[in-house]
Amino acid sequence: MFRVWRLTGPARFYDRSESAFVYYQVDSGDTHLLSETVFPILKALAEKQRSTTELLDHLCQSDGLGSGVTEEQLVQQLQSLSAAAIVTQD
Amino acid sequence: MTSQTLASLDDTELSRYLEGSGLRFCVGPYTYALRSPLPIIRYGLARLYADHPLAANDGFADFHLSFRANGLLDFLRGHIHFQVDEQSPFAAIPKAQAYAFLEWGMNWCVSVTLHEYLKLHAAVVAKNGVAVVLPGLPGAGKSTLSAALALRGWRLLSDEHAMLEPGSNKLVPLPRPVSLKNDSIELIQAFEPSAIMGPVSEDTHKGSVAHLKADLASDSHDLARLPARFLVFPRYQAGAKLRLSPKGRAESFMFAAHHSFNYSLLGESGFDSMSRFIDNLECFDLHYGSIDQAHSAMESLLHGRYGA
Repeated sequence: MFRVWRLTGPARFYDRSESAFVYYQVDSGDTHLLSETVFPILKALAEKQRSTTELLDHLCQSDGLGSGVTEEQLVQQLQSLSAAAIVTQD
Repeated sequence: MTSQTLASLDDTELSRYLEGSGLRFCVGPYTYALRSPLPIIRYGLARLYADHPLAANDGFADFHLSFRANGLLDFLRGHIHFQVDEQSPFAAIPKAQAYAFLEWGMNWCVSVTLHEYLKLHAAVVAKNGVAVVLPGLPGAGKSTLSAALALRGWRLLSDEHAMLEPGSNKLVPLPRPVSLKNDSIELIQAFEPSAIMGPVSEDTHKGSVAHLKADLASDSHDLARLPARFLVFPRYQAGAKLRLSPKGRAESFMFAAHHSFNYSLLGESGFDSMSRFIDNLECFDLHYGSIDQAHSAMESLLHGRYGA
């Protein structure tokens, strides 16, 4: 059974296609300024929870992180987001 | 509100209200009722609030303020209590600092209530119907800048609170004197020798504090809400070269939220209000080393010459 990543709760985005966007966690009210590079990851997880492999496939198909992204890079991003209590792994 | 202003009261009448049933005067759409036996309060009000409309003496007041000595110890120490709705939210203060505390207390009333608005800790100035919001951390120079602009023909909507109607970018005018601290007092006096200042409160927790009469525009007490067009984050640094540079919306959102009194309290509606507010603005960083520089940069904003 693969472990899956998910958002820690419902979220809102303020994204105006700049180098950063605002990520708002509805339950806690926490508001983060995040790099645009993680926007496609969070958008994908806002749609549904996904395993690392599923997430990587989705991002490569949508070209959200660029086709050259590696699983290792993705896991690093997810771990950073996890440390900020933005995503979690079940 | 009546058509009379505070200037219509002579010193005897002002004393009678302040030491009796209370002086009721308007700040934007709100009414303050104030009682005080202190000559320094009477002096400060007469100088700084002369053009504020008076409210009906038996009418509703949004905030009831008073200064009261509580017993022998206060008397011996020369202290007095500032009260809001008969409660003392702060410790006793030296009488000599009472004027500064009146202004801070009036700020406090707005900061802790009126949550029907999204409130930013920011000055708001306007010219030709265009409002500019100037948030600022202490020391950023927002009050000095807004004082200088008020003395050069801009309308001051507020020195402390940008109050936004949720779902719009319209600002509620709350014109009050501008709070100046330490070096800014002399700087503004030198900038405009005819500037009208209130009492100087020395040795406060912010140092020396004085207030500037800033309702100098003919429409200063107009109650109509004004749409914000620009969000400018000022930063003063002695000798710095002028720089007016566009700021990203997401970053501006975060800074504005950080400068808000009640963004968190409003929850998701605060996020929605802030999103709409930022979307309707052009956002800038303004780094400046003199108020003349900053004044010319603000004028250039109005004329669409950013970075000129």
